[in-house]
Amino acid sequence: MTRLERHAGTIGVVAFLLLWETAARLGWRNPAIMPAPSEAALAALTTIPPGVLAAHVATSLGRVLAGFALGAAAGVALGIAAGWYRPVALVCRPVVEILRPIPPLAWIPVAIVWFGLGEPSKIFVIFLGTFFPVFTAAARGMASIPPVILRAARSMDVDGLRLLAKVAVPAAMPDIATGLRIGFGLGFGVLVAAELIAAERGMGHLVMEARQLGQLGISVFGIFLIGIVNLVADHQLAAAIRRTVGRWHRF
Amino acid sequence: MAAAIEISGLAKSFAHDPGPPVLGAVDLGIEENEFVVLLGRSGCGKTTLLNLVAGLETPSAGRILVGGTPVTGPGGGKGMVFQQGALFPWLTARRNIAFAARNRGVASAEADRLADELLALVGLAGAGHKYPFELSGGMQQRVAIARALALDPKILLMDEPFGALDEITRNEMQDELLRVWAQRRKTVVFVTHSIWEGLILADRILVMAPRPGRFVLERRIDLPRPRRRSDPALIALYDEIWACLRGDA
Repeated sequence: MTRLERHAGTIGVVAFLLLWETAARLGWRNPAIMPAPSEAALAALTTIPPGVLAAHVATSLGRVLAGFALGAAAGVALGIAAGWYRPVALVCRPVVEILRPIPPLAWIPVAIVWFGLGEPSKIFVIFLGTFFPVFTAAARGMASIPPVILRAARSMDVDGLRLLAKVAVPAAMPDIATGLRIGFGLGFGVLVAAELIAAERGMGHLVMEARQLGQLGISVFGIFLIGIVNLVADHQLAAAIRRTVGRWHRF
Repeated sequence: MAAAIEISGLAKSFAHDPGPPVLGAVDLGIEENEFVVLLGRSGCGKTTLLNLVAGLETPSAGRILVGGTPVTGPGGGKGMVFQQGALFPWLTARRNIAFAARNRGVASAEADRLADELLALVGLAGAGHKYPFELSGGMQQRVAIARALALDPKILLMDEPFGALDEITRNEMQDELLRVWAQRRKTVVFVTHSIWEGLILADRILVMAPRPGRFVLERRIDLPRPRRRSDPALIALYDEIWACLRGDA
């Protein structure tokens, strides 16, 4: 990597912001519709106390972590079972294939009836966003373990639950890890959409409330905040995967 | 000498597969510490024969005795080495070997000690902390041999273990295997489709033909090891085996 290449990303970000700022300042648009990034940031940071901003981020992260944890646990467990035991796959597949293509947001009205307007309905929708990609990746990972690995294990007289726990599940970990990352991204996306619709706190709520109050700068700020928080969270997850599965597998 | 492996009337066919059996009724006796090579083209039943001895598949007819006991499944003093890619990628070289030892009830500390001893035996002392993807193909197969030895097997079953290696590494690994075998005498059944590999390694070569899988040529090689590829006796054997293999095409 040359020096220029190392800084290419920073150059891109700065160029993007400069272009936008210039366009806004030269009056190529109506400022009420398209605020400059400096205006957006200033509006947000002067209007919203830092504590409130942090609370929005914390609320969103708390929801996404709860929904993700539940969806990931269920998706990994059921995906492993479906990828390993043929009868489980035969029973699960039609149900999953029907439910999987449904956008998780379509469940919101039903979720509100089932769980009320509070946290559980949002967590449920995030759960759905996470569960399906994790389930699919885990099942595929279990089904695509190289046969020679399983043959080697069996030649050492490893079978039954030991074969599953000591050999098959570790062998499927790279696929499961990829599924977790995809599931987290989808869960996060679903979260913000859910907060746009019905919430009193959270980053999605921040964006929606500011628009209703005519503070478009804050909306724009909120949108970028969502992007950055998601980026940081995904980066943490990726780093955790690199430190574990990444020690023995090249992704 | 006592027979390490006794095979009689052994046949294998698969339910979904019409046509002649994969393995006809074959008989074979292998002596203790004998190095037997099964040689033949793809589909001649040599790997099926190996899997049957390993207890990974069940025979359609006939029986197999290992050390006088009928084979009913894997385990029981049978170590197996596969083509590249059979090591557990999530375990380091040392843990791969220790896994095999722990699996037969060896305590953790003792398994680690055994793993280090076997790593040294296959010339990989100091590489125990590496994961398989960090090892070359030849090094991976050294670990695979050490893993099989960690089972403390009486017989070693090798399924084209060097088939995925380049020729230079492959020749080195053949020497390496003979060196290890000289230190840890085992009965070896080695499957290959390389004639030269068989000639360099074997006490006895059995050439197989397909459908039904059967032995069509058997040659004992009493030449001392290490053998030279330029040895006229080996070259004559090579010609004979090649003619036999070509003849069944």
